[in-house]
Amino acid sequence: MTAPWDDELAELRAVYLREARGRIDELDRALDLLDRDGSDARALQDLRRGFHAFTGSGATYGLPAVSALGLEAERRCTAVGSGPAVASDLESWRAAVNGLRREIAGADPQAPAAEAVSAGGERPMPSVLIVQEDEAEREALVRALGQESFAVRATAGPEGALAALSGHLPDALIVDAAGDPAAAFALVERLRAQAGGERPVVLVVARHGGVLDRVEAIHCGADGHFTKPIDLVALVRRLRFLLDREEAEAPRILSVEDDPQQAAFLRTVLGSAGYEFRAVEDPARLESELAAFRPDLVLMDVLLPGVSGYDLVRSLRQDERHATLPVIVLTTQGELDSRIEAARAGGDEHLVKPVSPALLLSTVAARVERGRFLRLLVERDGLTGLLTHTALLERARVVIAKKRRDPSRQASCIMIDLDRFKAVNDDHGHPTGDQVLVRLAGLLRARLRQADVVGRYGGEEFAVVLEDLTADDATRLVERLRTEFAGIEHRSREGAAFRVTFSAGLAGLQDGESVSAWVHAADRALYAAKEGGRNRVAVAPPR
Amino acid sequence: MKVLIVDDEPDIRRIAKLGLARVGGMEVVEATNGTEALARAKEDHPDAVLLDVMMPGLDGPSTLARLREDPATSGIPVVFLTAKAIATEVDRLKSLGAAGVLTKPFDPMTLARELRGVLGIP
Repeated sequence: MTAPWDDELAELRAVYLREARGRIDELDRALDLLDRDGSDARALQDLRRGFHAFTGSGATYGLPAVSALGLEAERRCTAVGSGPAVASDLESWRAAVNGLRREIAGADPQAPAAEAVSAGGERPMPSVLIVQEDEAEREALVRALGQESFAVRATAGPEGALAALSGHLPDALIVDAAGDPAAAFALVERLRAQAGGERPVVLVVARHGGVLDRVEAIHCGADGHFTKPIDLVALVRRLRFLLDREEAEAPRILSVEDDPQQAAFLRTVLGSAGYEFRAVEDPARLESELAAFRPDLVLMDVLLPGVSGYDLVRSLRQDERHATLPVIVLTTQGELDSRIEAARAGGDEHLVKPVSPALLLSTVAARVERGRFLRLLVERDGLTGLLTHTALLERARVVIAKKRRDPSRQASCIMIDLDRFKAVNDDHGHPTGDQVLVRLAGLLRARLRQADVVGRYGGEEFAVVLEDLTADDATRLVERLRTEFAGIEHRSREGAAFRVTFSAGLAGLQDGESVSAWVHAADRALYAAKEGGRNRVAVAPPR
Repeated sequence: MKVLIVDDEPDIRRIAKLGLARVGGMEVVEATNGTEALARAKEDHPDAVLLDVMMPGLDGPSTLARLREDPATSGIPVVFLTAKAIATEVDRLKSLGAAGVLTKPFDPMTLARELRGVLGIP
């Protein structure tokens, strides 16, 4: 669907991308000045203004990663204040500038697609592999998708596709099944059987849309089915929808409400606005629902059987895991007293029943958005931008819950610890030590997948949770990271070059295992790696 | 409905204008800084001002104060546009007498609707 202003929007976006390159160069210049003098007030101000502009404009122009990078760097500017900026600050700003450059290049249809594919940004352009025998049709697809900011690769037949799939998996596969349906379906099955192969979105194109074709396509694992001649607009729309669905989950709302009618009202209003909704009638089940459903917001009724909603909010706030969880208190009582009581208990907002759907929706939307933002701030380690200890364990719990539902799922926990890191700090000073930590964090972020859980566990210890990889594959991956990191040359502020290695312990998730047992197993393996002479990866034995 | 957009960043002005004028069907006038905003507000009589907070020279809060001082502009509702979306900042801005606060980044497709919502205009 196109709106009359789509062309104008595309035009504005092109202007924005063009101008952004100049602004990034300005950031570079400010960083060069700060390299020479970390207290250069003018440069610090320019830097802050520059990042600030990206914070506000990025997502407005459809580039949320640009806003996120800008915000992170801007926060660091605020923390540094009038300086002096130290090496780790500069390193982090440089990383942000490089990230911005990558995001801007990736979003620009003028830029060569290959550059965007190779860049391991936080949110690269989605890559699409097209398997299409007919050259004219192939070209048409490549052109249409290229214009839509997809990074496109194309091949004529299943052989070429298999070669392409042996490397990095694309985000989406479009395969023509008109010529040889069996070969096309076999290709899709091969993709799905591969590690991580359930992730890509698969669209199948067939000559005629018989029911059997459709069933066959779905059976072999396709997400969508198109008939020739292809409606390119519809195909792109479908692709975007499927890819977006992978990216953004609907916000989850948990309601504590004993009145079924009220719960049904909330379900209708919030459900139709695209929220995932769950209601708990029994307050005693709140704790387990919080862990299982991981809501983005809680709607708390005040009059509940045996307990007051205010007390529930209080107890919820005592748990640091729920510190940033937005809570809206619903009452039937008059304004002021219950408002005061709600605020005292730690509720974020107070609505009086009956609530109008419009007020409910606008309040929920605002609180969810702010809650997600706060969580982003709280869950990230200030130095490395990785998940904090608490946030990481929280994610690990989610992975365990997934395995409980589907025991065939695989996951590995990896504990990583820098070798003899104290000596780095002693020999070269803490700022240089920080720089090494930031470097490792950057490597982990660049090499691991978007969905992987990467955290700073404490000090010089990092933890990673990899899903959907066998323990063997995960071990190979960590081995690669280990050699790559060991090869990096670091420089102290005095200019001395040195290298740092890490040891890692890996534990595959066992059936019925708790978070603490899982992490402990990885920790024991890490200990074994250290005992075994460091700079190595050890795997925990079956437990 | 006529809206005055005040922002020193041209890319923000451009896309805000697209959102308010093209998508939202509003009339839009622009100013690139606080001083210019005072003149525009007095001359063009906008129904609302969408005001960036962090601007060089006269910043958003100072511009709001000056608008309030002049009887010709004191009644125009002002909505702040800020990239600092934390609760204390939003509360601070509201306490200055703004009709509301919208945050950057924003979605140009819903900006007009959000502005109407903040102003209580159906």
